[in-house]
Amino acid sequence: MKLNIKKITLLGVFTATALILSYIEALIPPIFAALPMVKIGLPNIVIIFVLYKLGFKSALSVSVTRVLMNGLLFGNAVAVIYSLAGALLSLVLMALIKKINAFSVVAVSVLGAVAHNLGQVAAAVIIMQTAAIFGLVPALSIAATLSGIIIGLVSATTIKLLKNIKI
Amino acid sequence: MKKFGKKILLDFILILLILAVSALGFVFLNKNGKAKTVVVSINGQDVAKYSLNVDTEVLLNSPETNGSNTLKIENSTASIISADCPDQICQKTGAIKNIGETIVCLPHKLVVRLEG
Repeated sequence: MKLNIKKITLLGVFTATALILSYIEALIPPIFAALPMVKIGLPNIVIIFVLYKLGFKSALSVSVTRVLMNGLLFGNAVAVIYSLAGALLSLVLMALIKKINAFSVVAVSVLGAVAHNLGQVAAAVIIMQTAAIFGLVPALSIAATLSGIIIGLVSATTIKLLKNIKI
Repeated sequence: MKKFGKKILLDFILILLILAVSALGFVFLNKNGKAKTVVVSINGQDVAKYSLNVDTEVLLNSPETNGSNTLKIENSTASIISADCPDQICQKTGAIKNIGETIVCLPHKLVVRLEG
């Protein structure tokens, strides 16, 4: 990744956008009362867009910076560990699926959403040493699939609309 | 355009596959029996057990994280009614009553789970 001023500025703008989306998402009340941790995943629109437009390393830097800053600004230190585990697993899986080039943006988004939950649950199981938390995975995966489809469609539209913009 | 159509079909198959596996997991994990015991674990250690048939209210302290949650058992359901963590997710989870259901408080490393 060549770092010039243009790229640094761009990544800053993308990180800021992802942060704002995290903030907006935190304002939205839980969609399912029984699973308050379920979120739509708005920041993932930015991550997917950067992954497609600028590549894995740029998406990684935006994602990690967003998680750290989100923890510092709106969350707490403990939550950062879970978020980071989710964000990293999600991004790695999305990059791999994108590389296979057999699936569209929607599938990349869905797998990213499911992996985000898996990463968080895995971190929770390791930290709390309680396998019972794995029981949440099926319900979380179904919710992640639905939100992943929505985010995937939004991301696909964004990528398509900004196709001609050179960055 | 033809390639695009093929991608959508593959997407569809993948999404169905994830939903099917999740649904299967859901059926296997939720035995849907009425639970009898409430087990509280903090930091991976089971620290307390309560009967779901005896109404009670207990303050649970997590020494390592310096946090506390209040567990309420009423009408054979368990819920966290107050917590001093920032996200309050345990409280928003509401009441649980079936075997295998959990209430998780990540900041306090506290898990409330139901057993038969």
